[in-house]
Amino acid sequence: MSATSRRRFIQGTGLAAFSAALGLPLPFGRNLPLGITPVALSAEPVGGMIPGKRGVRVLSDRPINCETPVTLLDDELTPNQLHFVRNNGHVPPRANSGDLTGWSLTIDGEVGRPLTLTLDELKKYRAVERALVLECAGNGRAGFNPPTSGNQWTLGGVGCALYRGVCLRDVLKDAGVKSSAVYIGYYGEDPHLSGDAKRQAISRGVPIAKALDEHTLLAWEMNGDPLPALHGFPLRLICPGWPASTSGKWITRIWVRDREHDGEKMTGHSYRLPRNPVAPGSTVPKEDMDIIQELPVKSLITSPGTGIEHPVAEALALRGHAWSGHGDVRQFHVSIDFGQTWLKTELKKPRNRYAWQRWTAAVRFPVKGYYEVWARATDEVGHMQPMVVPGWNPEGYGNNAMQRIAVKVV
Amino acid sequence: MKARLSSGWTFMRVAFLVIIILWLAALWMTGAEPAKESKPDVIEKQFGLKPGPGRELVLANCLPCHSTAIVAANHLKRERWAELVTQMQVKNGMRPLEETTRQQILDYLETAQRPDDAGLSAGKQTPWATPLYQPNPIW
Repeated sequence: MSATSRRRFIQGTGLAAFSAALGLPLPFGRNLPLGITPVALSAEPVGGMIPGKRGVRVLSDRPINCETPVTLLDDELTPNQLHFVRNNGHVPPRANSGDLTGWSLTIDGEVGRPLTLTLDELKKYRAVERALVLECAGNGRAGFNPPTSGNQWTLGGVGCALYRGVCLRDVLKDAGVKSSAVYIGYYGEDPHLSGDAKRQAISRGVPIAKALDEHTLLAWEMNGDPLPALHGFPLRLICPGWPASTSGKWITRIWVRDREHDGEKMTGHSYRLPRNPVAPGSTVPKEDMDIIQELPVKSLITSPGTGIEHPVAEALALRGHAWSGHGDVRQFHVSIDFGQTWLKTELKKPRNRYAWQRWTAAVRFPVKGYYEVWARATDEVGHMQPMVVPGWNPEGYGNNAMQRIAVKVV
Repeated sequence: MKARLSSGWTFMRVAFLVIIILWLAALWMTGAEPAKESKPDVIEKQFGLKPGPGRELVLANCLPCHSTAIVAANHLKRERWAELVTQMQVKNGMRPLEETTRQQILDYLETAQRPDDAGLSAGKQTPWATPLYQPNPIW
């Protein structure tokens, strides 16, 4: 059934017809909110081919942008081949060749002692290894209505990999950060899409406090391998919990600034949210937009996939991951009755701060029929995932609405 | 190093543009691109863009820098498309356009990639998508 005909179908029929189309009763049909399409009538998108990737859904091949189908995000650590990619420019020739000749990292600006380090020199600092979630700020953009421009990420613009590197603060302290330091800005080797060498594909950054946070890394390894070409070889920044665009790839310079960084995609509407809530579809002046910092609490149902059939006599095992830009997730709940009642699930502690956390549950269904499993996380600052797509904004960032899957109980 | 890289990219862009123009011309001459509504033609299959007047201008002006997947995935009002075209010129090195060309491009995008078609995009077919902000589910 095409999306259009599905929409007409939904608009033109009552619950009875709906339930007939599914061939199943709708046990909690009365609770099904208006305007919500039962997920059984939706379809999972399919993948494409990108070098070094498998099974991912390609949003764009130039620049390369791809996301991971949600059921392939089931691993504790997201394999390199499955991790999402959001590129703004071309992949630098060096990343493909693996040639380190002429590569160095410069730390300059508001520092007492500017540094230029080779990768070997960088590796002399104390190495750390952390599992860290990276999520595109636009993950979930496809859920906004009216639609917003950009890559139409659904659920899979997120991953949690194990990174090895050094704490950025160790290097910054070695360079002697001056009291005038306000912000850092990164520069990478990725050529601008136009080929114009004077333009930056992207050059973002974070306030100096986030740069000096012990969880902010300069990483050269991902899941035990040198950083893959698509993920920033030879070196990337990792600013966990913040939009992944702050975690610059292929970096060669960290500029310590005496003001907010104003590089490419730092200004205008890029990676910014309206300061005040706005009605969907509003035009928001640039000066009323603030830079996104922590990303909101969020979670995935990675098993089972949506649209399964399940015998009524058996309990259904559910699992997934939960994370928050504000730190740990404290509670996890699932509902099988459109949010009327909630079951508290098991939730593991994170491997380290800003790693995602495994949740598991087993649910039993009272009678045969069509169900949806809704899942929501609550984080350490008490924020909970909303049921609807929250906070419409002009660029479609920060959609952390609960995920739901359809289960036909037979 | 940078200068060589830059001239290489420029060459690739020009070469790419020439290939696209020749290919479109060949398609036109062989009659492979009639604007039949609602049936995917060879260009739609390749580039994801529906048939319609102005489509060749979109291909010629957008493809030098990025794939058309991002165009096909977006469903926006004319004013937003206009902003994006301007943004491509100011920030991303897109060449200046004759006013008539610009309007033809916007005519195409406004028609082929309109907001109420968004349900056709892959994103709206995902299991969790709640395509309607209204009616508010709570009221």
